[in-house]
Amino acid sequence: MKYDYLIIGAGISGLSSALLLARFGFKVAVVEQAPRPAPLVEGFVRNNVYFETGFHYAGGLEDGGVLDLNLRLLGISDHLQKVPFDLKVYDTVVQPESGLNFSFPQGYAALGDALREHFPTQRQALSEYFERIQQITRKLPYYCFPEPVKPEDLGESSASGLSLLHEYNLAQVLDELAIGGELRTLLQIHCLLHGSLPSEVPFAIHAGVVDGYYRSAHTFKGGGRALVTALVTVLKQCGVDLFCRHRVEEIELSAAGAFAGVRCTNGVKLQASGCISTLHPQAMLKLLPASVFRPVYRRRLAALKESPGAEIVFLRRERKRGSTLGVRCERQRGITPRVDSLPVHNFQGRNFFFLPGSGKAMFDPDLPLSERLLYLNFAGSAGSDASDNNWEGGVTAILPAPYYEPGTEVSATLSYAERKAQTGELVRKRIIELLPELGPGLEVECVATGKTLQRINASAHGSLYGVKHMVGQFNPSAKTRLPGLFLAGQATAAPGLLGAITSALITVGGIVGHDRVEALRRDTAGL
Amino acid sequence: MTDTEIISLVNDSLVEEFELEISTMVSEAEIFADLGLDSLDIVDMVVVLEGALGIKIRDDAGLREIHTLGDIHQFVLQKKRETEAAS
Repeated sequence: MKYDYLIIGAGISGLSSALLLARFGFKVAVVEQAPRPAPLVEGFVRNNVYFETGFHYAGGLEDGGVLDLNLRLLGISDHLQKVPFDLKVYDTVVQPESGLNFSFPQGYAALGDALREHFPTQRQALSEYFERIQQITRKLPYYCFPEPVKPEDLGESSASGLSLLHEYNLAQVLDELAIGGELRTLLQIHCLLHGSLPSEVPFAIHAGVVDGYYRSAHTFKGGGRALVTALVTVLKQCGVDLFCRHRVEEIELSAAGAFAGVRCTNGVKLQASGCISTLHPQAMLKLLPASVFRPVYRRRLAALKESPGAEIVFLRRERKRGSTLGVRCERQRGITPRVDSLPVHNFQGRNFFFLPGSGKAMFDPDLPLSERLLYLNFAGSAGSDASDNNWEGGVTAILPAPYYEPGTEVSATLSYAERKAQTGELVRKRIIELLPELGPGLEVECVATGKTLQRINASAHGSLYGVKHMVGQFNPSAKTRLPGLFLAGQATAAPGLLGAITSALITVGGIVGHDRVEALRRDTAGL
Repeated sequence: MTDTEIISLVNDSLVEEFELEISTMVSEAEIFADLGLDSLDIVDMVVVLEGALGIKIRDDAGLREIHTLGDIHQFVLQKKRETEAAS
């Protein structure tokens, strides 16, 4: 059968694009190489503990917030139960060396009060900073409702798009407002949520990320897994076909040189009038003959810089230390015996950011493990999933790490496994030192590296967010020169859950007309 | 660099990066109609010009006024002069 649109990649941007196109009446199929959709966000359950992988918490989920609205527009809100993060202390930033210890409360008003109390001399600058964030987000496409989305807002045809994204980076704005010291550190900390340094990230992108988190911080009951389940449920209701374990190896062209279909490594061919690729832009290039794009475009995509690499340690609490559990690798999935896990409820609904010492780069992957940025997430996914399985919530620890070149051998050699075990143990000890209350029974469940991200999440370089957003780097836009081929994904619009959904709105808007998508949004918002 | 050198550098870069015919590179050539570029190429054109000449091109009214190759030359020469004056 012939589809109207094929979506390559069943991540958040791919599933959202499929849902939107289906809402506009198109017959859509999603093609995914992994065994299950959205492996980055799905998380995993082991020994009755749920671990978050790519979804840790979300901003803008308060009623009427930008993400809340987008989930309603996708039709998945009714399948999800929002769970707020700790209202008073959702993000705690600690720099052991300097003694900095500050916790973010939810909402601009409470955050403003807390920061003004800590930094009375910078009250004015802080107010102005918040104002600038809210000002620039009003210009972001599919963020607020200021004016209809114009193609030039999307950076497609130069001018204002270039200006919005490439005029200022975050560091320049903080410089201009003379914000320094610990306040600057706190305002920069959420760079971890997009993976670009303050001196790199376009202020508009940073603002579009932090604005939501400054308003509210939530997760879902059942975590990232519940989000994926909701997307897939609604996708099926909309009649979208989902082909997992189908890896696209070639995009086929019509005689006229337009998109015609895809051929998968398992021999399956699917035909469609159009396609949205949500692959890493460099991976997309490999599916097409070189002659399709101009050399300058290919070179631009090939030169795109990646967000930081990472090592992720998954930890749990056990009732009894010294049991047979130690570091476990993914291959043991499903065959480990059930053990009695302790809740981590004192920290549930909280994140901790432990910073490197002063003068050290935020994401420096070459620092010793004991000094590297350490992000701890207690997503509080404890509770239950849709089928009311009761799980405890695990602890996810993320540290910047060096990249793995694509194609690096991924089989688990002994030294690789040993290195992972060592990383896990060092991180476990560091966490116990930093949060002694968590100490008794804290065990490492397993460790993920850049290789894991490459294998499970199709992250070409094993980076956290794929292509970075930075001033002067022109990421690809939704349209391509190949008729019928469009791009979506966080590389094209913005990072994170919101960025991925926004990219779907922008790309589908480019296909069906932005006025129609905008009308759907207004309708959803009751405007 | 002299103006002539800058113009030839711009032309060479565009020929190479956009696979254009050198014979079409006359200053009255319309960039969309004659050179075959389209609005999707504007960002790449900015990348090429920035890279070749070490200038920064952002929200410029001048960018929106570009219709011919000659407009590109004038735009770039102006930018280059502004950049030099600023440094």
